[in-house]
Amino acid sequence: MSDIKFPPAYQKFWMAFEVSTTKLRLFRFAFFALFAVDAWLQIAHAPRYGANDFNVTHFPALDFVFPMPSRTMMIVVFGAQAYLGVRLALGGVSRAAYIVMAALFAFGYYISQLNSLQHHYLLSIALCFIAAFPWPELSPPTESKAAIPREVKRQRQKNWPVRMLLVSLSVMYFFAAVSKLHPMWLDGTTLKLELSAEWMRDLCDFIGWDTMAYLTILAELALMVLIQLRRLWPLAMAVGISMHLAFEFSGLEIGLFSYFMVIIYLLLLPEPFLKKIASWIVPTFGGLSGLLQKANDKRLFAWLAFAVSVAIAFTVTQLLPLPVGTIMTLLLITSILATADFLLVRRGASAAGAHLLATFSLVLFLHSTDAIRDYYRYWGGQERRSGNISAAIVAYEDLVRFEPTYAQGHRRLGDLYRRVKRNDEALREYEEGLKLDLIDFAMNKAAAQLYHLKGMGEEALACAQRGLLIKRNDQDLRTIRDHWKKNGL
Amino acid sequence: MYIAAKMPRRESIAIHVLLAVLILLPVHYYACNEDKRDERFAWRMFSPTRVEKCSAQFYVGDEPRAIRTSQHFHNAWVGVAQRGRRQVIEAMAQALCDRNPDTAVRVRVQCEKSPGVAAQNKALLYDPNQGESSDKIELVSRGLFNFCVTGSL
Repeated sequence: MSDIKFPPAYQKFWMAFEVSTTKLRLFRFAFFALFAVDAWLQIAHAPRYGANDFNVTHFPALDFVFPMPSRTMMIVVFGAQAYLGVRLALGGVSRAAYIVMAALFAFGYYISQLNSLQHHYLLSIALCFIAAFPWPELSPPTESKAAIPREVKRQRQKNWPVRMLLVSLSVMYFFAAVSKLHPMWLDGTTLKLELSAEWMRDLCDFIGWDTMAYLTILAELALMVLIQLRRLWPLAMAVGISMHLAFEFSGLEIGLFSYFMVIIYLLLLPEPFLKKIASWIVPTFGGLSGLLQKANDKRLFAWLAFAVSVAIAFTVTQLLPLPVGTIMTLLLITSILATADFLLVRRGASAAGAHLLATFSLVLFLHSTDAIRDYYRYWGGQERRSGNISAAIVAYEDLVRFEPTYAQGHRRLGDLYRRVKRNDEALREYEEGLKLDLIDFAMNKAAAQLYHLKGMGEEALACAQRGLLIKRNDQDLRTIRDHWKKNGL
Repeated sequence: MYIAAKMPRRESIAIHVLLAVLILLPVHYYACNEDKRDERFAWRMFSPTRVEKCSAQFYVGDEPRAIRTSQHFHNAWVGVAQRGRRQVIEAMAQALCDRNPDTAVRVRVQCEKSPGVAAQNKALLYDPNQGESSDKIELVSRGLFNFCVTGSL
């Protein structure tokens, strides 16, 4: 195949881009660790997918290719993304893992316009380039001095996907600036409507809203150029990171966009600084790396370690606060990914450790955050609004099973039981809820009404009085209180 | 030491195809996208369009009042419709047509002409008597036609 002739400077721009392995490793760790967090956070939003049998994909043609998404499907997709995110952050995986991640993310993003976050669109592009990055383990350096010039040249030629990622940022900054060339932006009106953080509003008042609007455009246009000029990278980092952190703390609802941008700026870090970091990390973790290498070389041990890790992961996954079918599907997919990578890369002990860490992190995250609570809450809430009370009851029953200390879950479940005349079960839920939150008005009122119906005067009066402490003029509670007081209580 | 690195044909094709996609998607928004409220793939971060409010009202059969959309679609879709995204509103209307065969589904979409003009009086966006655009509100849909027959806004 003959090469196409472009001006030398243009060829150099793409083909002679240099990036150190230390920088790539640092970027990979930070990027995919954040990616895993982002995927974990998405699990809470899985119930919206396919709700009411309605969906619109990002491109009409995809309607014929992609299936109707469902909440179970999306939990598995996001769970697998989170799992792979941790595996990729740790490194040592095959290129196939990067490609699977890019495909999995594209599927999860383009399947529905429910996810129209700009940073997820950016990620879908970035992952394609990242899959082609010259990852150190996948592009071993040459050992022959005689071969250095050719190998260096070849290595540099492989770096163009890194340059491509930076170019995609320039394109993004350019169009972001173009979109702001609008009278409503230029006079500061749009900024006034979008910014909610007090400190930022004060700053804009001080500088001038229109000045701030112009400065934003100027910064975006400057960044478009600066990130392509190596000598100006320190300036690009200063402007870019400050701007994105300012966005983050301005009360804008942009998910983890700013953090992803800050991590991409790691690719602009000066090499001497990275060498210092590497000189600290290598002696600290070099021993561990050597031990792992020795363990990997022993094939029987590697197989054994991997088999044990799969067995432990199986057990740990059962702790996920999800239905059994969902757990088993997720387990099947992560096990297939782990086994495929193990067979492709042949780093048994490392693969075993990474598989365990990725599985543990998923379970730990779902147990230590509100993601699962929100998942059941959003699911139950939607079913309730749609009038599917039996489905809403199933969702809230799961919620209180997995989060028995969430008072509002008991209240919602109690309300749903009341709607279908299951008053005894409703009362039981209100009692559970009141044990956790004794001064909740709605629960006290609902419990008072049910006790009143059952003729349990003391309990009805106690709940009514507690409710009246919060809302003194509630007529229903006053009636109940007066009734039982008249009856001598 | 700088070592000249030529651009091999395969890499060259990949780079330029990717570059074209990166640039053409946002250019498409400005050049030929009829729905200016659909800002996906255009990198229009914090644009004035993003903060404009819209209302999407659906009337099924002879009902004089618009349906409660949250009973028929997830709230997240209702939120997207309230940004005036035509593709989603049309899909919602089509879904209502499919769920109610032989019944007319009429759609009314109204949007602010510029951000914040309906902030003081949100009822402006939901005024069913508004038959055409005013100085503050734009009637995006063609009026109260039967969507199941016309198939578009």
